[in-house]
Amino acid sequence: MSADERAAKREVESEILARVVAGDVEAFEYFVVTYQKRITRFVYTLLRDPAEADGIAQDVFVKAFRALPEFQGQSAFETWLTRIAINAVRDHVRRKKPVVSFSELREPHDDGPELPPAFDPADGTSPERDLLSRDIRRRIAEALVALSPRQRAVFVMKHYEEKSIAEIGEATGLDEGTIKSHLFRAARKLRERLEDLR
Amino acid sequence: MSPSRHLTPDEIVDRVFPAGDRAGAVPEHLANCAACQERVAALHDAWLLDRGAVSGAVDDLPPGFWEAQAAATMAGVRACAPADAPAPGVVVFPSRMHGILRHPALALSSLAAALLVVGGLSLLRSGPTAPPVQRAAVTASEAKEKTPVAVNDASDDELLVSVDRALEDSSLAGFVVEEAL
Repeated sequence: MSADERAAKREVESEILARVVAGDVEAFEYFVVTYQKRITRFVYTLLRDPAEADGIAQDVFVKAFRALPEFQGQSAFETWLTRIAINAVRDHVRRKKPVVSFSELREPHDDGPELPPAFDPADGTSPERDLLSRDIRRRIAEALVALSPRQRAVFVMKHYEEKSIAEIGEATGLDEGTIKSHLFRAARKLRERLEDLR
Repeated sequence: MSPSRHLTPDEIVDRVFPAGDRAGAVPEHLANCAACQERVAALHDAWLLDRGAVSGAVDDLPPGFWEAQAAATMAGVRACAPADAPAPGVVVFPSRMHGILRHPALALSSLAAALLVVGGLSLLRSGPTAPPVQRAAVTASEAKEKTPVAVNDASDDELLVSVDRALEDSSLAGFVVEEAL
């Protein structure tokens, strides 16, 4: 999206926001329909649980609606929504406090339900390579879930959503050094999970 | 790094997941080592597959899912929205008053009961009573008469008499009553 398109979108959204704040609740549906996929995908990538992703995505919009009077418009609505999503996931993870870790829930070679058949990595190029790829994927997912919510959010925004460090900083409120530190630690944890593959 | 040394696991991970916006320059060894290239490629491919899978898992959900999610979300939004959002500048009649207006008989009887209580209290407070100064003096005299005085309590007896005298002085009595109040 070009800078002009972004500016035009922001203008349209600020007009709709003004309507919502003035009492036109139904106008808020624009934001739900526009961003529901993006927020659900983001939450799903962080949690790897479709049901939780659906529920939290809904909560994110309700929280955003409640907090609308606090929205200053200094960032794009989508960025603000992402920040609410990060906080919602963090709260969810804190509340949940899993007694059993993600890796303990699985058999060593169980690929788990998070792999949709359409994206099964068995592409037929080589059975050995397919197996390795499935194993690495499982370990990436485990490593992600083992990260702190903030590290996880930063890692996903950087490597799954291809956001720049500046964009991540805007969404998380973290400075560049802290973001790079989170990314570095996340990569180290990932490496620990992959170590025995060597 | 030495051109002959294989990449460490950390270096491989850093190739695929750089902390900055871009990965660093390709190490000389990696450019020439098929084994290291294979290891980097395996991690890179797995990550791309994972990214595609999570993205596809969400993007491929049927339209009905998104419609249901949007409907549920809007229901949640409506539930936390003010019941009757007022137009700017409009003063809303308090909602609790609506209940009273729906039951006028109840409202009238409540009002009558409240008036009775207020009236009763007013009557009790405005009834005939002795002036405060007199009351205080009488009380002191009565205390003198009714309190059993011990043989050795002559000083207390004198004290009560002096209090009675002092209270007969109207200005001082007023002061004492004011203080008491």
